[in-house]
Parts: sequence; structure tokens; C-alpha cells
Amino acid sequence: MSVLGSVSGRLGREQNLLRELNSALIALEADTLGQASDFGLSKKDILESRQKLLDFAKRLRSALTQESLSVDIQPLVHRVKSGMKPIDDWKEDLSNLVKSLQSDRQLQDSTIPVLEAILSLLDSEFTEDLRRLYSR
Amino acid sequence: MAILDYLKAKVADFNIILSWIEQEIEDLQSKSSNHTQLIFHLQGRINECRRLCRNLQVITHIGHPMLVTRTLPIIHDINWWTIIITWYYLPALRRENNADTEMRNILLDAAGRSGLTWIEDIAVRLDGAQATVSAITETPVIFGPPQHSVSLLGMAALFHELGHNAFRRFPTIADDLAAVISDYFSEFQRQAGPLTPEEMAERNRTIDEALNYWKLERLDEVFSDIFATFVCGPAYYLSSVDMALTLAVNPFDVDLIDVHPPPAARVHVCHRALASHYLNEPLISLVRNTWNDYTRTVGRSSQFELTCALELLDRLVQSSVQSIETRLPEAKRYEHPLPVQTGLTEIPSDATLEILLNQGGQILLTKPECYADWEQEAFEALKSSDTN
Repeated sequence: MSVLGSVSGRLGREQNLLRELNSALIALEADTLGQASDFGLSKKDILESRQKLLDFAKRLRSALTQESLSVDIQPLVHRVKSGMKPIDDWKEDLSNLVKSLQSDRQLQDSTIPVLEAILSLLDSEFTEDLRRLYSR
Repeated sequence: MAILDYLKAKVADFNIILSWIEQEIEDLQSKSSNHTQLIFHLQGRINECRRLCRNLQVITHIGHPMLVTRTLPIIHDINWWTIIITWYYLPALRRENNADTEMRNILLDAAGRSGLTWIEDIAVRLDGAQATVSAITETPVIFGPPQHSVSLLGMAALFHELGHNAFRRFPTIADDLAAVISDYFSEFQRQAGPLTPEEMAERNRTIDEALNYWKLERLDEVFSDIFATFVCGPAYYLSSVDMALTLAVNPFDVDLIDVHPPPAARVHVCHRALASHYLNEPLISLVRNTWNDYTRTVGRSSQFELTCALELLDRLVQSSVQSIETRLPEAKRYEHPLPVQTGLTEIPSDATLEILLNQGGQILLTKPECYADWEQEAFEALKSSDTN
């Protein structure tokens, strides 16, 4: 009875999500800094990245209000709920983030820390699970 | 920023590892023509890692703290792929011998009959416990013990490994199962009778614990059991009972560390996933009675009764079977008649791995003295059908 199948499966899903969101945030940050071309990013890439982050922010907000059941973000929801920051603050921050991403403006200083916090939680989940793979 | 020096070092480190992997893949490619697709997918992953490495370089060059914060997830991403490739894929391809290749061909056929039509190639390693890595679903690595090169015993468990691949391929299977769990416990929560506030709080707490028990990995394990029974039939049910009895742990124990659900829950879902016409078969009754006799002597906890309630498990079976039928339309449910006692040891002309595993189970339980000779013949038939 190996744990390899299910643990590597979970890690694969986490890695996909982490890569997708991290790349999207890099794209928006590079755009904000005027460095998008250094990464070979087009305007279309930036728009798609914004949409990805927007969709995810909406999904997370729904999950925090128990409207969504997607398994992918359950561990993240668990981490958010068990963290020091009050859940209502998260919901408010996510609503502001959604508004900001829906506008055409570049990322604002107030929204970047929210995205960074989400990515940090996802990365922690991924690396903790990766350590479990070492002891299959 | 000191971190920039670290990032430069990390880029150099990754470039060396990735170049080495590329060279290894090139060497393997020149030695074997069997793994063209697998090598193509590995090269694709390495190209992705190279792209991520270039992003690390650009960020290091720009040096802005906001972008630097994004580098650790990139490093963890590349690290993940180097682990997957260097721990699992390369060793499998490097050590591949005739037995591994024969098993690969048998498994590729089985994967096709099981509806895993996206699988292009499999790297097999007969040097460990049954396990799989499906990080690249089109070309998984499947492990098995070395005796699989000569014996069918225990081979039904390989269908469970194929189940992990299907679960990984269709993320919505997990969402559907999670919805089953959530709906069940919501209904259960609403069924509370008159309780004091303290009793209600305690009840809700235990329900939350049960709900949280069903994490992604456990849904994956339970689905893989149901999938294996669906495509391999009674042989997998027999193997689930065998495993539960051999493990010798309390089969009702809800272990919060183990990613596998309690053995009693696994045996139950396997029984429920059998095609209905098997339920009155003497072989199934024999296995079921053996299991029931054993479990009657073992106490079951209230935690098991709640977390693995039979109604919940039945709903998981129903949802999984529905997922298999809709998402894997080419998966053939195992419905082949079990062999009758007359001519029990004759190898059928249409013998597939599943047919032989079911025949073998029947022989082992009713005429064990005939099994060794039969198995030798069966194994040869399986290998020759694969080479035809």
C-alpha cells in the first residue's frame, strides 16, 4: 500500500495551480514595472493572466463563503481559516482584489500583498506535501 | 540583496542538472525505440523547466523586490520536476529489463481495456511495492514487486494504480466525490434531534472532523479501489479482502495519518462496485463470509460508523461508477462469467490479464493444489497473447 499514487497526484494538482497563478502574478507585476517584454510577454498574455487571477480570486471568495466545493482549493481554504487574519478581513481583501482586477488599471500597491499572501500559502502547502513524498 | 546571489547560484545549479537530464534522455533515446512518446513528454517538461529558469534569470537581472518574491515558487516548481524525472522516470528507463518490458506491454493492453485511452506509454519498474507516479498522465511510471515477472499473485492491485491515473486525468472526479461527502454530512447535520446547545456543538464538531477526514488523497484511494473493481471484477474484491486480512490492523480504525481509508471501508466499496450478477456467485459469498467472520470479532468505533457510514460509502461508489461511465466511456466493466468447476484450469483462448486473475482467484480458493501449475501456463499464455 504505497502512498505514492495519491500523494504525487495531489502534488501534481498543487504544482499546476501554483505555477499558473505564480506565472500570472509575475506577468502583472512585470507589466506594472514596465518589464513585460523582458519576459517575452504580450498584451494578450497580460490580459489572460489578469483573467486567471480574477477567476481564482472569485473562486476563493466563494469557497470562503462556502458557495464552492472545488477540492483544489480546500487546503488553501483550510490554511486561510486557521491563520491569524480574521476571515472577514480576507473576504473584504478578496472583494477589493476582484474589483481591482476587473478594472483596466495596473496592479495597485494594496492588492499585491493579498495575491502574494495567497501564493505564499499555496507554496507552503506544496512544499509541505513535497516533503511527504521524500518518505514514500 | 543577498538573495540575488543565491538566485544566481540556483540558476547555475538548475542549468547543470537540466543539462545532465537532457543528456540522459538523449542517451536513452539512442538506446531504445520503445519509448518515443515518453521521451517526448519528458523533453517537454525539461523545456518548461528551462523556460522557468530563464524567468529566474530575468528576475535576478531586474532585481526588483516584488518580482524576487515570486522566485521561490519557481524554484519549488523546477525542483518538483527534477525529483519526478530523476527519482522515477530515469531510473525506470535506465534499469528496464525484459521482465519490465513484458509487464509494460501487458499493462498497456490492460490500460486500453480500462478506458485509459490517453496512455501512450508506461515505464515499468518491477523492483518495489505497487505504486504509480502519474505526474505525466500520458506516460505514467508503474512499480511492482519483482515476482510479477513470473507470477500473477497480487497483480490485481495494478488496476488500482491505473485508477490513480484516471483520477489525476480528470480533476472533476474529485470535485464530484467531494460534493457527495459534503452533501451527505450536511444532510446528517440536519437530522439532529432535540439536543442541548453543548450536545449540538459536540455533534457538529465530530461531523466536521468526519467531513475533513475525506481529503483529496483519500478520495483518490477510494476511487482507485472502485475503479479497479469496475475493470477487474471479483479478482480485485478478493485482493482487497486479502490485503485487509494480511495487514492485520483493526480494519475499522480511522487513521488520520494514513492516506488510505480504513480497510473495512475499502472492502465495502469493492463489494458494492462489483457487477450485480456476481453477488450470488459462490466465490463472492465465500470471500464475503470470510470477511464477515473476521470482522465480527473486531470492534468498530463510533468514529468509523460516522466517518465511513455505509450509506456514504455507497454514494461514493455510485458517483465513482457514474464518473467512470461518463468520463471513461471506453472502460469495460468486468462482467465476464466466473469459470465453472468443470474445466476450471483450462486457459481460455480469449485470456486477458483480468480474465486470468479472476480464474486464478477461483482456482486458489477452490483447488489451491492446482494453482502453481496453472499459473505457469497462464503466465506464458498472457505473455504470448501480448506478443501476438
